[in-house]
Amino acid sequence: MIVELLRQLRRRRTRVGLVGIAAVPVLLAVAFLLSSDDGGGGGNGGDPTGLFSLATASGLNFALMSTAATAPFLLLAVIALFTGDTVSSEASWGSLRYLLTRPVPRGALLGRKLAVGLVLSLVAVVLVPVSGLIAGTIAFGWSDVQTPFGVLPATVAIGRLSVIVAYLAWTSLWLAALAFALSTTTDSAVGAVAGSIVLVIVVQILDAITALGDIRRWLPVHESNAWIGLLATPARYADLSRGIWLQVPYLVVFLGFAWWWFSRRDVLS
Amino acid sequence: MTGRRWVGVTAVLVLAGVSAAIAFTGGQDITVEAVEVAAVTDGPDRITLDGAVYVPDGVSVREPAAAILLAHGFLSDRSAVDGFARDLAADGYVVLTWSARGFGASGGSIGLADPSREIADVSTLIDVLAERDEVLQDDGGDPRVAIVGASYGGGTALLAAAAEPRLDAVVAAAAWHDLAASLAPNGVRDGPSGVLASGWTSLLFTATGLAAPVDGATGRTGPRSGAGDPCGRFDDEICGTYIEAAVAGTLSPAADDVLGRVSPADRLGGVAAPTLLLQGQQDTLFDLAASRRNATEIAAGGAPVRLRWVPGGHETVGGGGPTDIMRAEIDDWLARWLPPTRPGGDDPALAGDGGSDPVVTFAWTDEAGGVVRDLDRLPVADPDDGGGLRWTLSADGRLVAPDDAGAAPVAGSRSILSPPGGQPAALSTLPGAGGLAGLLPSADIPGQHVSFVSDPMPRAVTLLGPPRLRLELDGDGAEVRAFVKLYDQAPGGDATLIQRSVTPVRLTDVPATVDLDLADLAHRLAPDHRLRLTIATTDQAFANLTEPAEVTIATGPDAAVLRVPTVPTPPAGGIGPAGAILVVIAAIALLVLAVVFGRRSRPAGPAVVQTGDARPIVIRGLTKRYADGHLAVDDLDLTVDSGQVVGLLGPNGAGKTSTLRMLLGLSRPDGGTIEVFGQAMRPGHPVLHHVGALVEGPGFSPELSGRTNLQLYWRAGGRPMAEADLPWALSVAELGDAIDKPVRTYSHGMKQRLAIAQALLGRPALLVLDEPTDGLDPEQIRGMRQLLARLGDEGHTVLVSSHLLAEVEQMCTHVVVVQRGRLRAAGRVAELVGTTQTVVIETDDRRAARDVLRSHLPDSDVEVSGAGLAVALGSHDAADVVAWLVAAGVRVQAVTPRGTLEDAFLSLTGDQP
Repeated sequence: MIVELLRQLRRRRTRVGLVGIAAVPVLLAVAFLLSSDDGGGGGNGGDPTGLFSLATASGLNFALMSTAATAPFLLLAVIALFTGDTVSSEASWGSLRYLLTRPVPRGALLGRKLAVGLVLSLVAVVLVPVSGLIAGTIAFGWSDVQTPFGVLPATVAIGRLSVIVAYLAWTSLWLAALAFALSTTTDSAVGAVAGSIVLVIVVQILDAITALGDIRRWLPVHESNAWIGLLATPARYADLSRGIWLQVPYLVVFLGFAWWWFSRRDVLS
Repeated sequence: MTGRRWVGVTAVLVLAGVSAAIAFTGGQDITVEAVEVAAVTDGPDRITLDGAVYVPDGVSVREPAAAILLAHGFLSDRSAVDGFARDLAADGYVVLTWSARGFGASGGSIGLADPSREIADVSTLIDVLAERDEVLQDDGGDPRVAIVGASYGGGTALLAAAAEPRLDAVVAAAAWHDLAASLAPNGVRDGPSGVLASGWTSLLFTATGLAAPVDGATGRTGPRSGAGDPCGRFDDEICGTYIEAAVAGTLSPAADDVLGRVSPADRLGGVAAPTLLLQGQQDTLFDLAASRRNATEIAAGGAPVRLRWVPGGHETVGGGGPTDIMRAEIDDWLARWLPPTRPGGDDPALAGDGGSDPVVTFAWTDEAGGVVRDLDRLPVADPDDGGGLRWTLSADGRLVAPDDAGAAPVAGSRSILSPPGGQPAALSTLPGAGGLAGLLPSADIPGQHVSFVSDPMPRAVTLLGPPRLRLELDGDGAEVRAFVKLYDQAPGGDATLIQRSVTPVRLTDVPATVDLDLADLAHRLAPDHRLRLTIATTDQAFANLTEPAEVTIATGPDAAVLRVPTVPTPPAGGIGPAGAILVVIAAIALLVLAVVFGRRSRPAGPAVVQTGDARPIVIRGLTKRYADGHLAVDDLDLTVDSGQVVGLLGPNGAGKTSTLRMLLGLSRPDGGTIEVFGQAMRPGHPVLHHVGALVEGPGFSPELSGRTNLQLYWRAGGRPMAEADLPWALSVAELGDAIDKPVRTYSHGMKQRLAIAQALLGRPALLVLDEPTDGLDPEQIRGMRQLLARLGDEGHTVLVSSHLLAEVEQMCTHVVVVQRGRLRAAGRVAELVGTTQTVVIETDDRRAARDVLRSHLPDSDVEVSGAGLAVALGSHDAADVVAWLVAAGVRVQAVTPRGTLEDAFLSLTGDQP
């Protein structure tokens, strides 16, 4: 586990991914500062959560906005990167066969790879609000949080933000599992990462098609915005719990497939 | 598959199934049947109501269920409650939804829950349920039925509860109490009709009027009475009342009468059905006071009642579907008072356990504290326990508490202006804006308002119930309109309009001393926050005076007193749901850490299997057929003894690499057995600790240095670095400073040497090398040869595959030849070569030499080979040949052994191309 963590931490894509995702809130803060004369009004197209128009209210607001801005795609892409190329990149380098000639069961190797991928993904998910909080507090100061539902005291908001991050991390697991499963099947790291990102987009598009009716309720991203309920007072947890359970079948299927496939796979590359 | 694995697989599948079931609840089948109900009318017109019955699967004549009438809100129709209806049906209820008169595909005109129209329709619908076999019946013509509705549906539910004794439970959300008081509120107790809430009324009335009406008889859309009709589908009387009020900015007595007819006020004393009242804490249309008054009336009549104030404005609480909080309350209420099926007792009317519970309960959400609190009484203006705060308005803009040690309140007066035309006006709320309203700053206009601010609260204070304000008002016009607001002012000066609520004041006879009932509060003032009372002359949400006017407010101990009821604030404590989730997450994180570090602290990595004196490699009947059908290895037997350096030879595609892959556990044999040091091989077997391998070329992470690659490779096996003998392996690789540079900068030969060094880590007892000399220069090849010889001398076992026959001949003690996946030959190099030793003789006279050789070796082929002749020696040796030639006078330049293994190899494999 530690060895695998070192292995990944020394890789450029890990560092670039983490630094990049942490830089996004900073860039956003600069952008907001440069365009501070925004009208504030206008339609709220592209701002379904209502958090963007409130972003400059406080550092915590900005952290929330950063999270909302990166959660639907950027974070998922980074998570797909961390979990999707972990096995496939080894295969493409030819180092996978050498890892497998070590006296370590394949399941244990997969477990380490997955655990490290998830740890890095969690770090990425946590980095966004932390970076947003720091950048936002420097740029916009520290005060209570304005939410679309009212005002949250800062102390309450920090707790809620933590739960939001935990929820985001958990509801990204399906993608991590999917990317990981793809990673065990291909020798092309780009294929595994890009493939899972494409699938995310497809699933998100499907979720936006209301004509699909109840089928959408089965999609793993269907409750991905339920964390907005945590900004209400008191927090609404009902959709959250469904979002949490919704992950489990996907995890079981994707990870089950990854283990089953990898444990019987002939490593030829 | 072993039994244990079956258990594991089964457990995983069960977990997946259960999770899926939890995640996808609501999959129960529901039959939806559209129904048309003929409404009772007092005229000749026939009015049809468009309804739908939702019957859950499993409910039938034999197993009937209780029914729910689900009423929709304003500006919509029954389709707006379809989702909620399905949810309720999924809980086991038969649900009947309908579009109210004048809405959707129903006929008739909007009468605003008129007892003789809309409420009579509810009775008609109950009659319909009484006819249906799948609905539980309490008595002939009396089904087990509740009515549930929000906003317009909530008012309908309350008025129906007052009129219809057959209802067994009632849920009314965001309902009104006195419609006239809601549409034209006046804080003045027993005062004249109030100020028209023009924001809300115009939204409700004109939006309905502008919507294309539907012809009730045909269901087609079309104007009811020609374009330009402002009434749309409204009943003419209601519409006329609205137009008159919109023009006047207030309500006439006649309008009061019309709206009184459709108000629950003073009608609820006879309600017998247990009633749940839900109201939004930010509802600026039907405010908290409306629900409190409804609850008070019902409680006075003795029926069980629960009042619940929930977060949200009218759009949230009165909208199409209930919020989660509301849903939980509704589920609880229905489960207690209207279980979907008969619980088995004889008296269905007393179903549930409500008998011993308090008749009146009240709860609200403390939004600042993030907790739900409850009381065993309804909120009142003057609590028995004296809970309440009292301030005097001071002319210097302060709210002065009685125990204030500072300056005494200043008696005097303050004047504010009402601008001509009523504009600009203060901004308090934006009717119909839903959550967006929360984004708006509230703004007061300079000169048009006066504020009074309290000292900071020394501790948190929970304001709950209706505040009262005594004021002396004067004005220079015929009429005074003012708007009273309470703000929560934070230490920095930022003020929030509490619940966005505004209490209008309208007086037609001034000067006057009036007692005002301000909008009910359910608000916690944080420590150091101040309460601010603001009185303004205008408000954008209301009909403002258009004549300019001045309003004068007297201040001082007797003239102006504010009293706010409070309840004790629980000490900060408890972790709340968010905290609970954090605790769970932290616990999981700790568990994970414990597992990770617990594993680390175990003394060593995987158990090391001793090699003992078992043979390094024993392969029996090995077979591998790839997915494409190619038979790569076919019943191969192969044994390698300790200390042997074995060359694995074979043409391309002979199965060499496939064999090595299976030997290392990289791929799975289709048949046969592989034993390494006596251990049956499987992927990741601990015995691999004694095996070093180079298969199919080097494979390294290009971004890491050669040294890091080797270190991580070794540590991946779970053994300490000290056992690896890294310096020795690196000395073999001869990479110099390059060892600390990224592998992507290496040449092919450097990578190859690094791969050999990797295979040598830990001085493995068995070394498996696939084409080890690939990419090496001649000197390095020689070094390789010496290395393998030394390893063999030291007792290591080496299996080398190569296509360079001369190399194998020089490096190996033993040779194995495979072809088409089968063993062709195996043995010492000398044995294989010895059967067919060939020499090349260089001579000036090849013709003479050939004759000599043919005469002495009649069975051998003599062939031209470069500058000389090649001949197989058979039982003779080279010295014999030289002697024969010299004796015959043929000069011999040189005698060299020819690629002898090559001959052996070709003779073994050549006849089977």
